[in-house]
Amino acid sequence: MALAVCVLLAAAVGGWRSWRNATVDPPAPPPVCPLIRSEVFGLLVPAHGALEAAEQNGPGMRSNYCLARSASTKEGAGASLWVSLARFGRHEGRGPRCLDRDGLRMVINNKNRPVALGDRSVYFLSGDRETGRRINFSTCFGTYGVLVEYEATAVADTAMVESATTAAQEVLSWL
Amino acid sequence: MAMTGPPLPWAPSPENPQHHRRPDRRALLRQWLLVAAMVSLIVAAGIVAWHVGRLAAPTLVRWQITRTDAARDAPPLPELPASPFGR
Repeated sequence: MALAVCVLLAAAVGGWRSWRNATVDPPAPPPVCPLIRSEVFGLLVPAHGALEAAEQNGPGMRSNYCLARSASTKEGAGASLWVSLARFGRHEGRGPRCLDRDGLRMVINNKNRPVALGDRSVYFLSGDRETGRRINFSTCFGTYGVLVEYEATAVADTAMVESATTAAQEVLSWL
Repeated sequence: MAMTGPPLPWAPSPENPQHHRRPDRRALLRQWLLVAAMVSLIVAAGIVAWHVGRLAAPTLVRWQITRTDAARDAPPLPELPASPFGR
């Protein structure tokens, strides 16, 4: 009886340790560039050049991004939109849920603002309007995480938030 | 010739405690072997479970991913936004 308990205990410890330390890569997320309509890129980043795309993988995480940037808009201001779509597997004892894997990008101050999109979304703003305002928008949706970095000059904060939210929702709507 | 004094140490005698030591050693050896076998079994169970967990992790994580994403409905495609410039 004691032997059976010890064997079961050892098996439980062995199984738990391997499960806790397992790193598992998720299936690759779809390329993010085709998930955003070209009209959206045209509106948010006027006169942008060719879209740049690349993969960024980490342990237990696979992602790819799409970058559009314009040298200048018709008003003489520059803009850039970087959108990344990540999918999470398992790493360091944390499961595939984006929220469990710290998929949201936040700053350590009180400037993170929530948005009602996906499981949870937050954004924070930085920079000033004349030299370039920048919004960092991140959202978690199941095992997916979307990051949007939108930088533009001469744009109001409300418009920045709307633009980043639209870009993120555009991506989520295809998942 | 009569012998006097204590008997020789190697002489078999029913009172000699060395005579009983042989079966005690065997029992002790059996006990130790049993304990070693039990410890080996426990360690082997831990190692086998560790390998099973390692091999099963990808399947379990795929199942978690499928289950997590199946429970969520994607938001609708948004309307095209107004140009943020000049607002």
